[in-house]
Amino acid sequence: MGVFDDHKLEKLDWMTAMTETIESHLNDLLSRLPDRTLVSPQAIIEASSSSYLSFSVRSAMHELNRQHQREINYYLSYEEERLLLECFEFQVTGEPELDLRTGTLTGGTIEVVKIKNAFSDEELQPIMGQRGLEELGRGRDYTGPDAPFERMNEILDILGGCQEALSSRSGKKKINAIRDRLKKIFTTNEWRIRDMALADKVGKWVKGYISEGNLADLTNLCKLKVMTHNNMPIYSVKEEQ
Amino acid sequence: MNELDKIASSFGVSDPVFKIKLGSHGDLEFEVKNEYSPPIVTNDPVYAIVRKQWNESLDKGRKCFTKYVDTKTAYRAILDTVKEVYNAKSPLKNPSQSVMYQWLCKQEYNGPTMPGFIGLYRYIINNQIGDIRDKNDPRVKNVLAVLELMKEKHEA
Repeated sequence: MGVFDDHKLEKLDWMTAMTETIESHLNDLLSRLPDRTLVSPQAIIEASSSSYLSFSVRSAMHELNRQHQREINYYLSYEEERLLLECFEFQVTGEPELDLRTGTLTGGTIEVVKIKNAFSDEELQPIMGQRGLEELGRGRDYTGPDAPFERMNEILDILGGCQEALSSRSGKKKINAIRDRLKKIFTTNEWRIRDMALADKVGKWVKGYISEGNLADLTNLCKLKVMTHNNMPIYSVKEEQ
Repeated sequence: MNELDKIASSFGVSDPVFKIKLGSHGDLEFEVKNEYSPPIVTNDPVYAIVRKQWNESLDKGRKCFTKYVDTKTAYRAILDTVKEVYNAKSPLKNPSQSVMYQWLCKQEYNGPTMPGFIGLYRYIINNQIGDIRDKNDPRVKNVLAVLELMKEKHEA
């Protein structure tokens, strides 16, 4: 297998490869969650505050995640959770009543129902790579005389289109330019990265090289950049460890 | 136990049974099935003023509603009414500067004068003293006379 081969792309069915559908752990997570789940009175009571009963789709999702913990090991970012919540809604049948004294629900049922089975690329594209970008941290982490200016410049060079930041002496400006450039690359699909997990790694590689001088991370980023010249969608990179 | 606390102790709370329905934003909404409210007693202004201070809050841990009746606020409202009537009906030029008014301002919850002010408040509201324009009306004079007697008795 060559250094720049995309093993995931080779394994994809022809339709996915042709349409360049985004591969996402969110779709995997969504498919594992049940289509219908009965809401128990205990779940409602536990999710409520000490003086106010409330139960939202978010509360129901936390309960679902808890029940399926063996299968689901992701932590979700705010945007990912928001997308997932939109796939579920409550369905109330009858006229349910909750008696707090006995902890019982009578007169009807409440279910959390899945109303969507997959996320479209239009929904996933805006949040692509976000988790990795969060790893970059704050601008002020890159200030001071010990800031790794040279490594930041190398990254800016690889990403391209950051001439102003290259000539700046501010570490904060450089890292913000890196962040903005990566956001643009992801949201406009400039590099044709079609795997969410891979997109998340980009920010981590950038952080790993800038902060720790991790050459494996730099190598991975460079490989990815080279693969963008293949004029093919990218689903995976043969990573250096 | 003072009279306001006795009235408060007669109030109940709702049963913690909730009707559940779908809200406009997609979340569940909870409504108390049989919401309790203290009964309305129309002929007792003191009861009415204590009733206004009733409220209940859910205690999830104890699985019930607990009531809270702010009788101190109710008593402050009673004293405020007495002070207003005194200011409005006193023959003095500047009643709010008077010794009587100063004394009224010093009265405390659960103090020895509390039963007297509760009774006086009842008289004031039942006889609509506030609406009487004639300061020589015997009912107005009664109020002022009772105030003087109370002050004399409790200052001694």
